Amino acid sequence: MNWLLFVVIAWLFLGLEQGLRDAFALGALGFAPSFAFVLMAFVAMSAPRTTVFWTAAALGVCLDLLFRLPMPQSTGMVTIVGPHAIAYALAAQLILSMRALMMRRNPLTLGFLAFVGALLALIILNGIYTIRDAAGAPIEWQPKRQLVAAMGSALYTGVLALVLAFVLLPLTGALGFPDHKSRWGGQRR
Amino acid sequence: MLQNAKTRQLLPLTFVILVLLAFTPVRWVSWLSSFSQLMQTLVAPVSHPLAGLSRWLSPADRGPPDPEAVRALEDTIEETKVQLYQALSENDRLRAMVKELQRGMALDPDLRVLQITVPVIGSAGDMADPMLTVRAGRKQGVDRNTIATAHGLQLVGRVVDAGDRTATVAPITSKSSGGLSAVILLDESSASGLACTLLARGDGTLHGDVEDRYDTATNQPIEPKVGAEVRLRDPNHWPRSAQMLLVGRVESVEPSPKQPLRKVVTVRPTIPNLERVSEVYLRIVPESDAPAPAGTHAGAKR
Repeated sequence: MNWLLFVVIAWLFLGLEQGLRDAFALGALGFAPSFAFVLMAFVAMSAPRTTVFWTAAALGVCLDLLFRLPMPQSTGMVTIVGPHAIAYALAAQLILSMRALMMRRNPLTLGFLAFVGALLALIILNGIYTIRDAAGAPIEWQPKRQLVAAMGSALYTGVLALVLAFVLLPLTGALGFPDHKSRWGGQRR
Repeated sequence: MLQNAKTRQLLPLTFVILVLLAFTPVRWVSWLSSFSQLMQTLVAPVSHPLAGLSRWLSPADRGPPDPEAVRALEDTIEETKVQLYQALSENDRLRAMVKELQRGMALDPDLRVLQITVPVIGSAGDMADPMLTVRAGRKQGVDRNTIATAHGLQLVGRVVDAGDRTATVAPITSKSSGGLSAVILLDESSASGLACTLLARGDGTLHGDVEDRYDTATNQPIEPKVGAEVRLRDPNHWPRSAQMLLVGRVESVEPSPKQPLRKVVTVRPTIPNLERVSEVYLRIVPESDAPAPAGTHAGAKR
């Protein structure tokens, strides 16, 4: 993989996540798409297995650092490193297991994989934060509302991925991913 | 690069460390917040213009844009109002202070407030209840409890976390902000009014019980009016520099479901969507302006 190009794209997508996520948020539950997850899903759809997990870990840690949780009564913000990275890695595993059955050059594939991956990632993320909340961590967390929000956000991420596929898929070669032109995307790595 | 055996061996170790970090008590990993600030700074060159663009396309106040001169005048009026109410409040305090001085109490020094305009570069936390990330931090004198206001001295919220170059502001309409005490002004010539305790509802408004008070002359209950100004008066939890800032206007008055003879009010900030402001004014107090105990100096000098 062309890591230099990936770092530049990741920086842009993290900036999009930070700057535009609230603008895209819908409804009282705050359904919001994740730009970073779309990038992760794209890498998971195309890159070798080890690269996918390193990407999931790196993007996850970056998001953990960006996504800070408020403490009760606005007494501060908490940074917890790990939840996004773990959630992304497990979602990456799901995408890796499904990608062999997909037509990777089709934008719908990225949309679908991003949707199912984001759904799993958000459920895992919710689980981790809920466990932390139950264990007495000083964070504001509402598990039920977050679970409902996860469904909407995952669907929204899938729709966003469908749009971003037209930007990301042409970068397959530049990023050094194998170009899967055959209908059935290729062998598992 | 990552195809070799060594990186494959490192991968499980990395995830073991991440799992451990994910479940480590918060107090042991508080040092990670400095990396968080670094990451905010790193993505700011991308997120800042995008946040600005999105806020320009979808502004906090969707009404017709005011000419700059009108905005400046409105700011001046609001500033004068705040100063007036602070002065009136200060008068009341000074009257009480005379009595205190007779008992040998010392006066607090006057409070100086430095106001800086900073852009909002993104949002933080839960998207259903977002906080604002602003481009100013400890290097600009921002610290926790620094007050953020918007156009017209509308109280936006306060800083809950400050890094070197960025800070996080919890809007008053955020559920995690924890509520506030305020006063509903009965007329514009006086800083007195009905006390109320407000909590954010999550829909951009605040809601809460109003003090039950009777007119001594007529023995009729004094009721808040729709459209009345609501200003912060919470010296126990908010810094002095925030007292009497505009919280919003009364949108509705209803009987309390718990006590029908009492009233509850819904207050809406004058800027309809505080989470969408593109810039905030941070009111920095040169010296520590931590929440003062009840009954202490409540005035401010700008």
